[in-house]
Formats: sequence, C-alpha cells, structure tokens
Amino acid sequence: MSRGRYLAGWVTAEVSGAEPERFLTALAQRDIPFWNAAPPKDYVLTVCLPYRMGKLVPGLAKGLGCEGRVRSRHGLPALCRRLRRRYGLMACLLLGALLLFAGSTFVWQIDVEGNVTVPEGPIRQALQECGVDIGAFWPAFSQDAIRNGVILRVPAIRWMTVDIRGGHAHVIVREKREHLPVVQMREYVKIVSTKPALVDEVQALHGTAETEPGRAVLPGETLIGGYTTGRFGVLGPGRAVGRVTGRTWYELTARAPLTEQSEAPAGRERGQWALILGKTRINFYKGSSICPAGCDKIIESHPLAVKGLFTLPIALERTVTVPVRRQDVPAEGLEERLEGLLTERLLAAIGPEGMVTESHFTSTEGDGTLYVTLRAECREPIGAEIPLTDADLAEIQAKIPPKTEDQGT
Amino acid sequence: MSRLDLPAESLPGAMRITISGGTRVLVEGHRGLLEYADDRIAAAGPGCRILIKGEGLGLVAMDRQELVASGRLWAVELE
Repeated sequence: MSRGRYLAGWVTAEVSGAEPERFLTALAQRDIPFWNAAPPKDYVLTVCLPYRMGKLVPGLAKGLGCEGRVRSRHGLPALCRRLRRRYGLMACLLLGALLLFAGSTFVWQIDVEGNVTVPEGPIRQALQECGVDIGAFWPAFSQDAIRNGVILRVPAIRWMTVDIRGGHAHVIVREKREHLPVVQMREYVKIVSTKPALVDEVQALHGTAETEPGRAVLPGETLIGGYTTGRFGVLGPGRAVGRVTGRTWYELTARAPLTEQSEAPAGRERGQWALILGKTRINFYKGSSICPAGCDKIIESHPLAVKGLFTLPIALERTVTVPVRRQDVPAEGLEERLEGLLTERLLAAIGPEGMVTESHFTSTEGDGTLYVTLRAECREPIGAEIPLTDADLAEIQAKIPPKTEDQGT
Repeated sequence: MSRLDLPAESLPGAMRITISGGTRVLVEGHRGLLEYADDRIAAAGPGCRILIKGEGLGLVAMDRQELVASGRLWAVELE
C-alpha cells in the first residue's frame, strides 16, 4: 500500500446479484479506477475503489439490478471518520501535539562535541553562563552572543555553534591550533643528551657536533655545541640546531597480586522508581537512595523519546541496589595486562618518534605476586635543547683564537 | 478496407488482443466484461465475444477501452 493511497483512502465494495461482473464494466465506463477485483463467488463480487467513490456504489449497483454496499473503509479519511465523534480523544491528541510543540522550544539535552584537549566541564559552564542550559527557551538564543561569550570564557576555543533539533542542543566546538615554535637563531643554545645511549646518527644543521656515531653518551653530555667553527677555529657562540638519534636500552618491571577482589551478589536486589521531570525528581519510595556500604547501585533511565527524533524531559528512573560480598579470585589474564601496561610505558618513554627494535618479556612469581619484566632496545631521538650558561660562554670565548694579520680585518 | 490494403488495427473501433509470455493478455477495444471467474474471463467485442481460458485468472486493470488479465493462459477464443 502506497502512502498516497493511504492518505486518499479507499473502500472495499461488495456487489451481489445475477451478473456482478457488469459492475466492473460500469466502473470502467465511468473512468472510476478499481483494483483487487476478485472473481465473484456465490454471485458476490468484491472490489476496491477510491474512498470518494464509495457513496456511488449502492446507486450504481441498483442501476444494474444488483445490490451494492461498502463493506469496509480504509486509510486516513476512514480513520478521521471513526474519530470525528470522539471529542475527548481528539482534544487529547491536540493537547499532546501542542505540548510536544511547546516542549520542543526548550532545551532538554545538551551534547558537546569536537573538543579534544579542552574538557567538557568548562565548556558547559560557559554555555550555562551564556544562557544555554537545560530548560532554556532556545528561540531566544543569539548564536553570535553565545559564540562570543563562550570564546571569551574559554580562550582555547576558536569557533563554536549550537545546533538545536527538537529540544536537543548539539554544541560543536573547534579548538585553537598550536603554532609551531619559531626558532630564534640569536639565542645561544646547545643540544645535550637526555638519556644514556649509544649514538647512532648525528645531524648538526647549525653549531658544532661534539659526538659521533658509535660513541656512548650519558645524560647531560653535550651532543651539538652552541658555537660555530671556521677555518681558523671557533668563531663564536651560536644556536645549535640538529637531531641526534641513539640506541637506548630499557628494563621496566611491573608487579601485581596473583589474586584480585571480585564482587558477588549476596542477597535480594531492591528496586526504587522515580520520575524525572526536567530538573525535578519525584521519588516513588520512602527514605534515601544512598547506597549503604557493601552494596552496588545500578541506575536505569528510561526517557520518553522517539530515537533519532526527539527526547522529552520526562524519564522513569529505576535505582537497583544489590548487596554484594567481596571475595578473592584468581586474576585472569594478569600477565597479558601487565605486558600491555609495560608496552604502554615503554612507548610513552621513547615518544612518537622513537621505535622499538627488539623486546622480550620475562615473568616470575613470588610471595603471591607476579613480576613481569620488559627488556627492550630502542632507537630514538636523544637530544634536548638547553640555553648556554655563563660558564659555557666563557669556555667558548676562551676557544676563539686571537686574530692574526693573515686573517685581515 | 481490403481494397485500400490498410492494417485492421489502424481503423477506429477495431479490436486487438496481445498475449505476453503466456501469462498476460491485453484486450484493446472491448465493449465490456461479460463473465469473470478463476478459469475464464469473457468480454464483449465488436460483433464477437472474447473468451479467455486459463487457471488462476485475475483482472489486473480495466478501463472503457482496455482490459488486462493475468494468470496461466490456456486459450483465447473468439466466438
């Protein structure tokens, strides 16, 4: 059944008589469309007609010497016909539609998306201060005022908008981008090692390399000096720019008890119902819903909503309190969990530019504890920039050779 | 008509019967439905009677000029 046919409606006509087939001919001659014309049985023919043609059936059949009647009506006009004397129901439907419309002009749910580094809390606080809150009348919102207010209150946000669909406010934010640092070549800086390593590669773009591949370095040891050199020795202090990669070794250990505490139900669960109307809560129980010690609390919320269309600020909430007892059970997948934890720590230590070239795990048990050790060899950048101290500058100045007549002025 | 050698279907009021795939029959230029049953459908034609015989026959569409019936066709007879 098509939507158009449902909206226009149709009737099922029943014609009985000596030759009911002639009724179909009469319909065709009058250009009245019909469908589902079943072959007559016991001199009775049934056929479907447009809703508005239903009133013609008795007269048309009578003219052919048959008896005709509308057996049933279908579609929207039939529904309206059935409801036309049910004033109370119509009033309720109208009231419901009005309430739905009125309810959709208020904000009942706020979602924030697009934030990566800025937490949601400050954004929601700023929105509240700008008038975007649960129960706010959204047609009065001014996008520009909200945007300016939120950006002033949360400077890390570059742009935002509030998209409202049926009482559901989608707040979309865009954060400011971090600009790459500008290298100030006039600053005196040297590059030192941050960890013990075996130097693998040295790329000195500016300054003087003080190490070479194959050499072992300790933390704090200078890798690229903050001075420049020429044909006649040291020219003067400057900024070291470059990259030094080294092979590093790690030994990380994690431990955890072989057993862990688990909770198991230890009695009957208790359910408490409450009705949530916007910000108002109506409890259908006496006392408090605070969970006593040794209990688990589970809250199930059932909002009045049509998924994907709208959500009304009315919800039934069921709070289930279950008494539990704690017990020690063997920890499952403990070794894998510790290995995953150590891998995360290793990756955090070598940074995004580092890579693990070789690694292996070992595990031992003792005193009810599992020890997992990760030994790994990595290749990673080991240099870090630090400004030259006065002692460094004095040392560099001392290295500058005195000018001779061959060097000119 | 025969002197002018015109095709019969080009004349006004002429009847034409088209059978498609043995399951569908189109009658153009009929004069009304005379009989309608599961195994036979009869329609009036210009000076004749068209009888469609078959099994599970049904009237798909009909207007003042055309009639479409479907089902398992056995025979179409002119009486």
